[in-house]
Amino acid sequence: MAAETAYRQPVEFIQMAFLGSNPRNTLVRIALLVFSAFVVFGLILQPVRLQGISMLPTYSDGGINFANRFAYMFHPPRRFDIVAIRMAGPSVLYVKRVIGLPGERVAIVDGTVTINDTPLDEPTVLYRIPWNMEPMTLEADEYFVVGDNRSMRMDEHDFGRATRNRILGKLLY
Amino acid sequence: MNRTFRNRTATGLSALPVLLVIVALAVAGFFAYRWWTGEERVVKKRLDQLAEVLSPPADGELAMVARIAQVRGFFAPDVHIRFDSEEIDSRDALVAVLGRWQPPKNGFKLEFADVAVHMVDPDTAHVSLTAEISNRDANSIEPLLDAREGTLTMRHLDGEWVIAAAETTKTLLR
Repeated sequence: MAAETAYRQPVEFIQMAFLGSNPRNTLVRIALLVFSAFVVFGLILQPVRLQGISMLPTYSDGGINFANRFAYMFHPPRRFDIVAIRMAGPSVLYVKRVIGLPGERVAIVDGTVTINDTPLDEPTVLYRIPWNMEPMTLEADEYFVVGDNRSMRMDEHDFGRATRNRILGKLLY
Repeated sequence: MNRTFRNRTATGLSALPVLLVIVALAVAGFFAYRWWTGEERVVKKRLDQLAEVLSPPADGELAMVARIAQVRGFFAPDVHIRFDSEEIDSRDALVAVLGRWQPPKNGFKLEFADVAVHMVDPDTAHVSLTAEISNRDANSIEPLLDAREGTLTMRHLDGEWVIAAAETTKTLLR
């Protein structure tokens, strides 16, 4: 009897600690919490771990952010939005800034981006080396995206046209 | 009369959830069985093995030589590979390229993410994936990451899935 009591006490303690005085309610709360986390982080806000230096100084390597998949439900991506662009799937993403919108003519002349031959003011770009890119006209569903770090060599920096269906969402902050 | 009605109702209410659970379990079991015995899983496992073989360890130049022999088994003799503007037209040519290649001193890790397998017929599969290469900078020890999107055509040859064609895809076009 004494042994049974000694055995029961830790079990009761564990039950109280993890499940509370009303295990059924606690389990329902846990289920709701898991469901909410699945909906929020699986369908709405996709967690993004930033790697690389192409978005310096806006984002540094190793930061955590979230891509809001519903951001473009009611309006298309806008200029200067920072977006997540999917590759073969949503596990590996590019994080870039939208600078060219559909139908626009984009070029880079000595490090300065021009949109329809007008230089674009980019306050988020602090350092730049003289990149040059021939003018290109974006299709109806294409956006021109590039990182903020223009002090990198142009051939080491992935940038260019992304179709609308590749844009997964807008970064939260 | 009332009592009989209540009993029936109670029986009906308790039977329905049980039935639903049984149906849900049967459906889940069916899909789990299909997934477990499906060729998609075999293809993904094969690609995981290839990724492991193509990931040289640090200072693993010698180990890489041994790995090249293993690499042969993952490709069809007439494999066609297009990596950006470069093309390789046979398995022997691929092995020769790998033989000349010097892996980075720190080694690297190749992983395939977002692998989607589409069975064209029982012996042919189209695969889309993202290849991720991660290692560390030799000087600063900072983590480096490169990712490429690609498509593969795989064929079932002599009991094994082998790569018959591989092509990288540009995510951002210029």
